[in-house]
Amino acid sequence: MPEMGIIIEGIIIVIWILLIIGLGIYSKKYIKSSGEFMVGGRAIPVWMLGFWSAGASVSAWAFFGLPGAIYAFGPWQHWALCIPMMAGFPITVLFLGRWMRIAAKKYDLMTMPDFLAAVYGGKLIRIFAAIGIVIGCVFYATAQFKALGILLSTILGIPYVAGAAIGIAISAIYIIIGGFIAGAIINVLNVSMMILASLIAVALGYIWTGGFANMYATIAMASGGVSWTNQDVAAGGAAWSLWISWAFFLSSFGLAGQPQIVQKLYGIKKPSTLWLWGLLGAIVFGITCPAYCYLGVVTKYLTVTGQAPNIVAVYGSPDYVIAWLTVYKLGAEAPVLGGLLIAGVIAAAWSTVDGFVMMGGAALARDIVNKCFRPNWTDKQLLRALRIGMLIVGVLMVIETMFPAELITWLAAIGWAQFAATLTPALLLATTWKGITKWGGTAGVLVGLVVSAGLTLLYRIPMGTVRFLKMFYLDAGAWGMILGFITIVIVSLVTKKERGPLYYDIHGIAPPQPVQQTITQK
Amino acid sequence: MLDILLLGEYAILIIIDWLRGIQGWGLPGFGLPGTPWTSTWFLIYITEWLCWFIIPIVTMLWWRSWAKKHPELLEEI
Repeated sequence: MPEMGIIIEGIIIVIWILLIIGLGIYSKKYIKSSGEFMVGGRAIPVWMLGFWSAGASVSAWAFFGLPGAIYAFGPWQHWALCIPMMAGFPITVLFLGRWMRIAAKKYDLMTMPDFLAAVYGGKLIRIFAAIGIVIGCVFYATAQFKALGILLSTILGIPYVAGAAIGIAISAIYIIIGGFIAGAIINVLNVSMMILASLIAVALGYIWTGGFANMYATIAMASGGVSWTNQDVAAGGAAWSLWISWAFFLSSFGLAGQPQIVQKLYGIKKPSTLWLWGLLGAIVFGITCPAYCYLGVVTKYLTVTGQAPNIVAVYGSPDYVIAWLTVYKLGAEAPVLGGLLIAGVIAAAWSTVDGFVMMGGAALARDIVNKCFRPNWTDKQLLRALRIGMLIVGVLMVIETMFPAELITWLAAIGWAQFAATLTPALLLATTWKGITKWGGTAGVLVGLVVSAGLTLLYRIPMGTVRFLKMFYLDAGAWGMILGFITIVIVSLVTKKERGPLYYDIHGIAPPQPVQQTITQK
Repeated sequence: MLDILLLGEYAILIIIDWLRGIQGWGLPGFGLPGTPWTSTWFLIYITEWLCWFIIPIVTMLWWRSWAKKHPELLEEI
């Protein structure tokens, strides 16, 4: 056991954690209102938000979960899940970004339900969207906590639950002291570390495997290698390819419904710089995520050549691929690089998890309670409620983390699918179709929410009989997203043409008299 | 294939292979030993070309020039 290497790795990790928490404490003094807490007073430079959004999309899912899933199930997931998310950034700018940003001040937009309520009108759409966000936040953040738990338990040689508890405790300090401003500054550091870690990973992987071509050729010629490289087609032939195209659609267009990524658009200082957010987000994601996919293939190579144990057989889960690689392989051969890579994993988890806790808390405190039932709260009351909301969501995340029924990549898939199904159809149609109505949007969000959450629940019940419905958890979101689009169109066509005030701004139509009065009052 | 020559880590790794005298595109059975692949994994080259190069770079540069032509559409309402 490379004990000295693990000590060196531990020192690097402790320095990194102290640096991040110190920065969080320093930036806390700048947060005086809920607006600064949630959207940084709309004065964050675009490049900072581009970095943060990319970091939120990569997360520990890509650094930890995806390499494990590729190690276990084959490399097709790289093109089906990782790469299309790059396209999601520019897609979001093209369809949503301008209106989200230029309408933000007039309608006091801070969350995604704010935008939906301003376009479609009514309280129900806000409540349904907020419920979907809370569900998505819990699962997505659990994936991050689980990654931290596995990593810390491997380094410290302690059980998973103890490792997860330490990871959650450190993360809680980091989240509670900061907010949006702290998040933006810290995440530039976090994402820089992720980029550095990914470049180190690629260089090391190339050296270990003797080259890109040699790596794949060796795997393909090893026992079971052909089925691993061809696992996708072997699993379902043409039907699989068709289905996986659906995942491709959900990964790209579905990004527009991810609040942890898209909500940051409200914080951009100059609306004319939105293009840079789209470009930076895509490029940072495109550098980091494929590098982590590569690590999954590298570890597979190490296993088939006898340089690594069979991770699934030894540890019982492919989630341990990166933990083994960083702690045992690098801990023995290059502990400084191992420490930087582990810091990269922590950075990836933290760049996302703060956003989820904040988002879930805001969905409960602001979108449901404040906006629908307690509209007269002062800013101080709202800020206090936001922190309580974050605590409630945090407790749900802790419960799910302590009972990790799923692989990291599937936990993240549940969260991604829930967001995409609940929010994407209503958001994309809000700016692109004049025919939307209040009840169309409300019904579409409800259908997306119920279908995705319902199928996810069915998949988790160990009945066996319903499991034939799924390939993996993105199925639930794909069904929810498609049915959400269809529902909005059908219900909008047959219901009264009521809409929210922002609808009339977007489509350049004169609002009817009552709506006109609402706009004037704003 | 242009983008994989310029962007993406996998493209760089393939180029390093070439510089070391190892031919091919990293696909077993295509200039390399091993059973030819029939999987959808090869689609990575197409998706990288679309998602790394065409969609982000081309569309965002187009959006930037559109924004310069219509600054009034990017003012707070």
